[in-house]
Amino acid sequence: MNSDMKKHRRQAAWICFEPHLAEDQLIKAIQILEHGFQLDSVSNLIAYVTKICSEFSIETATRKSLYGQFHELMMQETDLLIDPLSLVLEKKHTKPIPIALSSSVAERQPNPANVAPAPAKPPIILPLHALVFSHFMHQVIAYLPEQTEFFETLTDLSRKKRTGTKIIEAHVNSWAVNPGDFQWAESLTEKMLADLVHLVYTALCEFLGPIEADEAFHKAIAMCEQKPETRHYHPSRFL
Amino acid sequence: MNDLQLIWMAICMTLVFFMQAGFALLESGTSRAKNSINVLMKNYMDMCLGGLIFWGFGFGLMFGANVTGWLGGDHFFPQQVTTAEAVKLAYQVMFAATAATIVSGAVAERMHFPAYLIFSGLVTGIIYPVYGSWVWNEHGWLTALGFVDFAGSTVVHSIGAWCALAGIIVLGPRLGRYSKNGETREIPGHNLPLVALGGFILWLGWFGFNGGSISSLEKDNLGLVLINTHLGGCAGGLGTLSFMYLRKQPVLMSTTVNGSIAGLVSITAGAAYISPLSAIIIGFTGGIFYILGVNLLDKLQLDDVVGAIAVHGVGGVWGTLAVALFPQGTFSFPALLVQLTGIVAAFLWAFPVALVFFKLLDITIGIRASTLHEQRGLDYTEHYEVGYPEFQKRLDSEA
Repeated sequence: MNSDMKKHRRQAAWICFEPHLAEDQLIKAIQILEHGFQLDSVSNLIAYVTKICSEFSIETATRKSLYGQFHELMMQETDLLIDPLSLVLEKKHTKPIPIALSSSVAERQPNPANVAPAPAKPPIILPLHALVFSHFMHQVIAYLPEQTEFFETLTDLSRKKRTGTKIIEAHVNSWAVNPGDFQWAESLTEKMLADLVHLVYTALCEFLGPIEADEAFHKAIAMCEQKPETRHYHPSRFL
Repeated sequence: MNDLQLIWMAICMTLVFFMQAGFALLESGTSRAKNSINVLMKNYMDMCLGGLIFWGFGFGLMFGANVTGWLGGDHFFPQQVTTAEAVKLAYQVMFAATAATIVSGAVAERMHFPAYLIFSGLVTGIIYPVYGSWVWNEHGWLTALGFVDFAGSTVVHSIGAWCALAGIIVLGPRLGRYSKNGETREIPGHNLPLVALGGFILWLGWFGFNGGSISSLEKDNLGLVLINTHLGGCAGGLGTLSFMYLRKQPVLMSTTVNGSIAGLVSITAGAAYISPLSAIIIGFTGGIFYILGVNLLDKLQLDDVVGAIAVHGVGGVWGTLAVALFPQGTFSFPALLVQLTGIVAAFLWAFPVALVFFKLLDITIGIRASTLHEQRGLDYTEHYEVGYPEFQKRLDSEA
């Protein structure tokens, strides 16, 4: 089995179940994938999704959509920055459980006894605020019916004197190339990210209307609140 | 003025004061929850600030000795006044505040509070009283021409509306109000029962607004004024409702309330001079013109939050013209021309002056709230108060 394919499958599983499971459950779902569902077939995929849904009591209506979503994710390049396996390994070797992808992982004083074995490719670790930003924006984008047009609006606004600056324009351009990739946000300050969040809100107002823009933000925040990182850095700090 | 008239004027003064509450509720209910306090504050301050400014400057400009026909020149900061003068002054203060408060609804949800306050002061101190001196000062040039505006369809309502029009042009629409394709996106108000209550209060106040405008010479017309006022309001609401039905549109309560107010505005210019049947026709048509006005503004992408320009501007113009179109005697074309002159003069005075004031304010202190403030809501960003703290979750709050 190609290791890239395995990683791809783990990423797809992570993205698929992320909105429905807590972090511990997600890690367990990856472990189940690793141990029993390594065949590259549609029936294997369905069996895996069924197993996870039964295990964590995900309702039938959601289950049906998950089959399709998983399959689609396997067909395309996923946009998760890390390999979820690293989290599984980290969970095994560290106590207490680290916050997934969090800057607190990076900021924590390294304890040689607790250091997890390095994965083949080191994961890109975002600072906490950038990580929460990426979660937040990920959810906002998921709300959109059409991404290309939205990014056109966002880019337009970033060029306008009243709403944008040259720096913001540059970041928006980087983001627009690959909306699921937030690597460009790694070095940005909280203030800069807050400015970007506000620009996204403005673009949403233009794109969907102010009522739906508010709703998109409320829903995105609610989804983000399920992430453990938001206990340390709430997305509302960007607003 | 005899004692009975004085008491009646004093009662009317309190009724017109109460109209401010009607405007406040209607405008606040039509706005989003995050801006409700800001709207209420504007209405409240229109009264506070307008009261002082009109007493100090406006009254003198409007009713002072008018040698040229264009401007009053005395009675500034009046201290020694007779009872009759004091009641008249108090009554006129309420009118001035009404003119100013028409602007607040149109520019709601995106205008900086300090800039609004300054502009409100300019309306009650300059724009409204100067035009008022042309019409209601016994030596005003429009008075001399024979222009008739019984209780202020043009003097109060159109003047307020043209100022509002200038304001929304300089401000621009609310964030996301119009899509790139030119579609108008509905931004529903947060509390429609308040809108209905505001409508009822305004209607009640209108009996004082029109009823108190009878002079000693016209006092016998009080009954006619009151019944015409009521019929105009009824017909306005019905006109709007019928129009929505005929066009197979949803029958909106908020629109119907505004329709009845448009009917009341329409009847204000001629309440003492027309028959009850004419009052019904004028009110009914005013309600229809209101909807057409709203549609036109949306086509032009002019975002008037409460429909103030359609209600007070279009209704005011129609009502003023209707004085000549529905005479108790024979129709006179020169009278129609005079009415038209007054309407055009009101626009040519109020709109450009307001536009210049708004532009100056925009250049100096800025009138448009930032998009961030619009996102957070002006209640929090301008006043640090939230209208409904128990259930209103701000986006930037972790609570």
